[in-house]
Amino acid sequence: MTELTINGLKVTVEIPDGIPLLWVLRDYLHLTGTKYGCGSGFCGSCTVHVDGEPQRSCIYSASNAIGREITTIEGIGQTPMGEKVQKAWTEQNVHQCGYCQSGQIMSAVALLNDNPNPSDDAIDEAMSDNLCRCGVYNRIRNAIHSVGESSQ
Amino acid sequence: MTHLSPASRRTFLKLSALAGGGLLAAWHMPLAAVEDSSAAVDGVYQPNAFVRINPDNRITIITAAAEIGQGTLTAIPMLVAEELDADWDLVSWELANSTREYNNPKTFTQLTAGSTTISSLYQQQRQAGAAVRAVLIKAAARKWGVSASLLETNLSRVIDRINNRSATYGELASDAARISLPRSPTLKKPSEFTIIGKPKIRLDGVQKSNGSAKYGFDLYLPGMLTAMVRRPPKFGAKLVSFNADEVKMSPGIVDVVEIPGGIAVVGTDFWSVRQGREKLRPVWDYGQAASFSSEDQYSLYDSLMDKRGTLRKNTGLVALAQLRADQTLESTFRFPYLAHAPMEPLNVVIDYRGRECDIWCGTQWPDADRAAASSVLDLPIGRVKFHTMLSGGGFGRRGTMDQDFVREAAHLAKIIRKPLKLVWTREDDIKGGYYRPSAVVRLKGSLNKRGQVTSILGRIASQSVAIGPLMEAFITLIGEDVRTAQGIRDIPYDIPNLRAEVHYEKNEVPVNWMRSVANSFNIFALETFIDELAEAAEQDPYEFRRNMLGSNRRCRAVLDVVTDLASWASPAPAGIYRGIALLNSYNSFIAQVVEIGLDGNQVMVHRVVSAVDCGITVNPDLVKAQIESGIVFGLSSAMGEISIKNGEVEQSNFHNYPILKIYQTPAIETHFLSSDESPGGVGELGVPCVAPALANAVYQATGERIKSLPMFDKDLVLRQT
Ligand code: FES
Ligand code: FES
Repeated sequence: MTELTINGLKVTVEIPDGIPLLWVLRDYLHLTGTKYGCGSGFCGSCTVHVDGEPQRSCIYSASNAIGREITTIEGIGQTPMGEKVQKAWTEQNVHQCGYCQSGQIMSAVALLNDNPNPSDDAIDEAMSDNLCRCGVYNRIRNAIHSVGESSQ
Repeated sequence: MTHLSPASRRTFLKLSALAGGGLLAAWHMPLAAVEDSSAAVDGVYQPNAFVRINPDNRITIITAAAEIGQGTLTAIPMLVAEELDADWDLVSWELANSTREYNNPKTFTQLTAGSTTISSLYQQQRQAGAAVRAVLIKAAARKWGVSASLLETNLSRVIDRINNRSATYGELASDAARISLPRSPTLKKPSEFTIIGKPKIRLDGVQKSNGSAKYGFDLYLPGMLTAMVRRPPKFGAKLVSFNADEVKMSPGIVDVVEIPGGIAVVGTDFWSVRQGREKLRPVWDYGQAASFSSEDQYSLYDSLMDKRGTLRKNTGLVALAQLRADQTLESTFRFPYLAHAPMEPLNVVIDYRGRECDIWCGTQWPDADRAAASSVLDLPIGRVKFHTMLSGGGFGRRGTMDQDFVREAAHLAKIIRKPLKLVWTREDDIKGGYYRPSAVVRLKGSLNKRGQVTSILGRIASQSVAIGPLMEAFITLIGEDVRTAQGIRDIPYDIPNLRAEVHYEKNEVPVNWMRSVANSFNIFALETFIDELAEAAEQDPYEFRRNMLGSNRRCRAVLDVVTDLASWASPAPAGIYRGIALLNSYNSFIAQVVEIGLDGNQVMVHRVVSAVDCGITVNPDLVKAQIESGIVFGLSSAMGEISIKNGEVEQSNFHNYPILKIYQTPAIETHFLSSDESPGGVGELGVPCVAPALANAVYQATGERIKSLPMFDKDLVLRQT
C-alpha cells in the first residue's frame, strides 16, 4: 500500500512497482484531468505540481511522490493563482480541443507563482515544452500576461 | 419566409413532454423509425434529442457534430439559441449519441470533416430553433387567450407587452410540448441577430479549464480492462506466431490474443499493459509487406511526371499555349507523409454483452463507426449504442474511411467479453499510418509577351485518400473534389488553358485526409510557383496575382486588405522579408502575408497577417481561433515528416516528429471582411497558405526556391537541398 497526498487529501492505494504517477492518478484514482500525450516527457500534457514544482507525471515515479504534496488540475483551482489562471483561460477562449490545457495551466500557474508578471522570454522558457497541436500558443501567452498584469 | 430545404425535410422535429415538466424536441426520420426503437424506450439514452427545456428555464442543446476543438459545441447552440431567443447564460451543451436522425443535411452522414459543419447546419439548426420558439409563443397565446402575433420573445421569455405579463420558456414548456411544430418558421434577418456574430465564450471552456471535461480516454467503466495492440513494424506484414504465455506472466496482464491486424495485450491498467506488450516477441511474415523507402517512392513519383495521368481538369489547349508561349517555367515539388498526431491518442471504450453493445469514442464519424461495429459484431444497428465523447483533436485522423479504430475494438470485444478501453500510445499513433499522403507535384506554366499566364499544367502523383464507397459517396454529396488535384483544378486565377492530371499509386501505407487535404501540398506548389511566374514576368507578386482575379471579387478583396494591413507597398524594414499567398476553399477566402528574418539558416517567423472572408461568422472569436490554429498547424507541417526506411516508419514520438512550440509561434493578426454571405468553412482555411507565403519570403531573403518539404527542422533551420 502506498500513501500519497493529492490536492490536500491523503489517499492509500495499491499500485505496481515503478508505475509513473500519471497512471496512478488516472487508472487507479480516476483523476482524469491529468492527460497522457506522449508518455516520454516531450509534450507536457501530464504536468502536475509536486511540492509546487511542475513535473511531468508520465516520467515521475509514483514512489518518488510519497511524502510530497501533489497538486493536479482538479485541485489547482483552490489556490488563488490557479483560480485566476483558469478564469483567464475560459474568458479568453484559450481552449480548442482542450486536451493539452490541463498541462498548460499547471505550467502557467507554476510560472506565475514564481514570477508574478513574466516577460515574453520568461513565458517562452517556462512554456516551451508544453505542446499544443491545436496551436493556441498566442492565446496562452496573452492569458498569462493578463494574469500577470492584474497582479500589478 | 425561409422554406425547409429538401435535404432537411428528411428529418423532422417532434416534441414530447418531459416527465417532471419541461419539453424535449427530438429529431425523427420518416423511414428510419424502427432503427432505434429498442433504444428509444430507455429514458436515459435519448438517441435523437435536440433541445431540452427544463421547468427551471435551463436549456440544453444537443449537438451532433463532433467537438474536435473547433468550437462546434458553442457555435451550434448559438445558432439554435439565436432563433429560439434563448437566454444564452442559461444554455448548456451536450454531445449527441449517434443515430441517423443526426445526419448532416448536406452530407447525410455525421462525418465532421471537409469544413462542412457550420456551412451545412447553418439553416437547419436555426429553423429548428425558430420552430420551437413558435410553439412556445403559441402555448402562451393559448394560456392567456390572446393572438400569438401580439406576443414577443426575449431572453427565454414570452412577453405580452399590452397586458404587461410574461412567462418563462420553462413555465410554458409542458404545454408547448402538445402543440405541433410549424414546418416553415420565419427566420431572423442577420441584422436582427443578438447572439450570432458575437464573440461568445466557449460553453465547454470551464470544464476544459478545471479538468472535468471528459474525453474518451477519461472514461472508466466498472471492471474495465485496458488493451493495446502490437501492429506489424512494416505495413502489410502478417503475423506468424507470438509468445502469448510469456507475456501473460507479466504483472497485470489478463490476456494476449490475436486480432485482425495485430496482437492485443489486455490487462488491468495502461502501464502494466505497456510493460507487458514490450515483452512480446512476434514473428512476422514480410512477404506482402511494404519494403520501400521514401527515396524510392519519390523516384517512382518523379518518373511519373513525364507521363500523362488521369485527367481532373482540362480547359482550353494547354499544349498549344505552351508551344506558343514567350516563356515556359517548370517546377517539381516533393511532399512527405505527415501524421495528424492529435494530442489525445486514439482510444475506444467498448462494452459488448453478446446481444448488445455500447461504445464511447471521440470520433469525427460516429455513424460510420457505429455501422462498422455492428457489422463486426454482427448485431442489428439498433443494438449498438454509440456515445460520442469530446475529442482531443482530430484533424482527420478520427474519421477514417475504414473506421480502423472502432473496428479493431469491436474485433477485440468479440474475444474478450468485458468492458474494454483500447488505447493507442503516442508511438502507435505516429507509426500507425493513415497519414496525409506523400506526393510529387509538377507545375508547368507559360507566359506571353505581356507577362500574362497563358497556361498551367499540373501533374500530381500520390495515393488517393478517397477510396471505398463511403468516401466516394461523401465527396459526391458535398460537391467538393477533395481528391488529389484539389487546389489546382479549382485554381482561383483566370488561367485560359488549365490542365490537371493525377497519378494514383497504391502501396501498403494507409493514408487518410489531413486538415486541408490535398491543398496542404498543392497550394504550396501552386502559390510558390505563382511567385516564380511573377518574377519571370517581372511583376510584383501581389499585382501579378491581382491581375489574374478579374472575375473573383472576394479573392481580390482579401488580397487588397492583407497587402494594405502588411504595408506591402512600402519596402520591408532591413532584415525583414515578406511573402504572400492566396487561397479560396470551402467557400471561404484567405490571403496571407508572412514576415520573416534569417539568422544564418535559421528562420524567425515574425508575423503572419491574414485577411479572411468566410461569410457570416457565427462566433467571430472562435473563427479567429481556427485561423490561428491553422497557421500553427501549417507551420508544423513545414517542419515535420514521416519518412519510410525499408518499409518501416522512422519517427516515433514528438522528439523526432516535431510540432511548433510557443517560442517559435509568430505574431498572428487576422482581419475579417464583413460579409452577409452564408458561412464558409474555416477549420482548414488557415493551414495551406502559410508555408508557401513563408517559402516566398525565404526566396526574398536567400534567392533559393524551396521545392522539397519539410523545409526546416525542429529549430526552424532551413534544410540544405
Ligand atoms: S505525457 Fe508526459 S510529457 Fe507527454
Ligand atoms: S487545445 Fe488542443 S492540443 Fe492544445
